[in-house]
Amino acid sequence: MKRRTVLGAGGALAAGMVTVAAAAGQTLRDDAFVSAARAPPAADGVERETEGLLSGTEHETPLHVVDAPEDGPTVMVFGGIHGDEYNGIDVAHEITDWNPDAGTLVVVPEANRVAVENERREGTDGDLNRMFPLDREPITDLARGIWDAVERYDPDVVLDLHRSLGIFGLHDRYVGQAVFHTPDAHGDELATSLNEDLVPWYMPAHRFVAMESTQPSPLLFKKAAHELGSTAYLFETTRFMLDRSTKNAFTRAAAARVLALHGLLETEAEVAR
Amino acid sequence: MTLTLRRVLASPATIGTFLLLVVPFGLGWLKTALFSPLALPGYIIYAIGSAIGHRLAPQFELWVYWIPFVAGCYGISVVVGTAYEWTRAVIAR
Repeated sequence: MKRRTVLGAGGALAAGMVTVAAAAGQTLRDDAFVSAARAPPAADGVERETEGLLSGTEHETPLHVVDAPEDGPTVMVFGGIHGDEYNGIDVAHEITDWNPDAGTLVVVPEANRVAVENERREGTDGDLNRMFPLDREPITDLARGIWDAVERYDPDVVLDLHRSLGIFGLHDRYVGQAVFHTPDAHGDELATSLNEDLVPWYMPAHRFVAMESTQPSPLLFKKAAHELGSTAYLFETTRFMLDRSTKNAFTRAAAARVLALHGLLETEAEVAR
Repeated sequence: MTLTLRRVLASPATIGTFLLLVVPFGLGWLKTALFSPLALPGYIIYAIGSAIGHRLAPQFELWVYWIPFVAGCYGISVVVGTAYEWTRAVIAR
């Protein structure tokens, strides 16, 4: 076969792909829940405050409080528990500009600031998400500082944003494309809604699964559920085949749905049940 | 028409199948929004291949399976090309 024919076939194939995929990519940009979260606030507006967590230490990091005009639950969102999981960090920063209709949003975008600055999973004292043993004091100064804030705000809902390397159920040891949640959470609805609205049918391995998490382990979301009775989610997307903007789109959509499921967002869109 | 090794390795069906398996998937790998239904065969081959590879050798990162993926896709393409050329040869007799 002539080289020109091969190049022509390859070029035509690539052009066709770009055209077809451009339509598919539209879904990621037009998520109704994210649009509702970004919509301008009502006339009486929302109030925003920022405070310093662990002030005066190497772990000092901002905590943002977004108060909606209507009363409602308190949702606490964490990004950057692992410093190289940029989807959680990027999206948690974005969330500080969202406008919930009710309740209070408490956001810590860079929980492990040293790890975030070093672009590493772990900070100075190892894996932060193994430092929250149940019924005991958190193990490190950083973990204690974060836990103090969690106790102070006593959240109804905790959402911890993460990213894995592989896919849960496909790659041993990896937990991507999964929503781990407490028994009282809306994990199934969240996973179904993400699959219906965002995951293309031709990426079947990337469909989200919901897993009720009952085993005791020293993770922040488990400690919040166990000791404060919070409804808790640990969201994981994956680096496998996904670029940063797609990981962020999944994470952003998951966060917006958690707010909607727990009454912070009013939207005509419904989370699949 | 004779069915030669050279003909089978570079037949239009071989090259076409190889491009179809690798190009759409490769575009999606570069930018997720460029995944399309045409990437599905390559996507499935890569997903299953990486799952098997990760089980056998968990120390490797998942991108290293591009090497066996490309080799495997060429192998599949040669099978398709052989079948195509064989069918053509039979019809031509």
